[in-house]
Amino acid sequence: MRKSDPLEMSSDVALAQEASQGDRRAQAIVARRVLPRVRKVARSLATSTADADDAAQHALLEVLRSCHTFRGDASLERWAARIATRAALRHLQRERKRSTAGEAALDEAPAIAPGPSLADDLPRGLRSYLGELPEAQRSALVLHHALGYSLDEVAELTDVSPNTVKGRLRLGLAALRKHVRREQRIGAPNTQTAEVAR
Amino acid sequence: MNAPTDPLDWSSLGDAPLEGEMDDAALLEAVLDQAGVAPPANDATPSTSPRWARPVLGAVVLFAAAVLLLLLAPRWKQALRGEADDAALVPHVETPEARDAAERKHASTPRPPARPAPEQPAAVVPSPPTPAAVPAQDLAPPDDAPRRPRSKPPAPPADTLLRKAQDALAAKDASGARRAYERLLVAHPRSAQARAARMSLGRLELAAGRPKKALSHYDAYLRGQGGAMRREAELGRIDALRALGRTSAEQTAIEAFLHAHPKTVHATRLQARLDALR
Repeated sequence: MRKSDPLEMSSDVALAQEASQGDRRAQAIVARRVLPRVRKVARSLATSTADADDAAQHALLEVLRSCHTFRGDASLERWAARIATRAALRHLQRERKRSTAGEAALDEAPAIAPGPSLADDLPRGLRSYLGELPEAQRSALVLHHALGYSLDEVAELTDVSPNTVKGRLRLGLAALRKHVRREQRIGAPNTQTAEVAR
Repeated sequence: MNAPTDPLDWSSLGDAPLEGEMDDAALLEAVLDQAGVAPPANDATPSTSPRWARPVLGAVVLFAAAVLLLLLAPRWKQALRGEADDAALVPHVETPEARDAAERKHASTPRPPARPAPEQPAAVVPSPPTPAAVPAQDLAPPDDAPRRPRSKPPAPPADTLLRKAQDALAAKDASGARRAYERLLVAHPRSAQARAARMSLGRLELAAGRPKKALSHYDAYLRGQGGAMRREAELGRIDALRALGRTSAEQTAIEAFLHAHPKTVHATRLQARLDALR
């Protein structure tokens, strides 16, 4: 269905230009094409479903508003993912600041917030472990390992030096492995014990 | 055991949809709704003016038309009324000199019917008229003129209004926040910010002891596309129903909520309330 659309046959630059000029169809096509990448970015970076939805919405909007800057140097999807990542990071950071006024420095503060989180809904996996890391370490790990950004790119996206990124990655990975090893020894806190109890 | 085989499988992180997340179609619709920074493609003359600029342009055009009308109205009136109207206008002139001059002019100077004499405007519609010398209907346009520019100023963008409301909330100014949220609802009713405002208004109204208003906001949120805060809206709705004493509706709402979200952290509290209601 998508291929039959004549607008999609035109080059990505032309498409982005049309979208930037307010062409609703072009905007819809761009949004549909980049949505999977935007959602992956938002889901990876957010710690709750609500945050992920908000971040995806915010990031997608930012992509559409930035269409006039697309030059075709990279694919539309990759370009959009970068903009979405920056927008999602900004949005999540703002939300966190708002919800936890007076929070300690990001490197020290635990990332998990009270209330319903993904860990309540999913089997314990990477996301759950990530949720136990400080925010800055988690972002660095997700950006580098899950979203494939280089050290320099992560540094640019998070406004810190590459050395700081290296430190966060090292500490984050170590903490992550520690959590995993511990659970491999003693088992996951909720799922196994709940099943045994039954 | 259905736990993932590799807990550090980075490649698939973020690929699977999250439970309860907004579906793609709703998300796209919400975003495209907000992305209307330019007019739709079927507009005859596409421009890059933002949506909020349209009412401003409309107001400017209307104002210009009103000013033009006011400036031209006396001349058109005279041109349309012609000679017959001259006679009708003359009796309104109170001063005897003006009346004599008008009578003399009317009797002696033959003119084409639709074309006023050169001196007539000065005699009949003096440029700075004294209130007594000008008919009542001629006073109306100058009185109207200053009122036109006072038409409603354009509403700020939705983001600005939302930030204003949030700033007011941070400053513990609940009424200021409520005003900003309500203005946002009026100015940008279909925006995602307005949906978020519904939630905040629900909470504010509930805190202010106005559960009926809170309920209407939560209902409005849930009637729409729902969104990220659907679960919170359902909880808010339950609280509002409880505050209103609508126990039957509250019970139904709790049952529906628990059915939809059996693992919710609110389950214990809600189940206890449900038991009390039964």
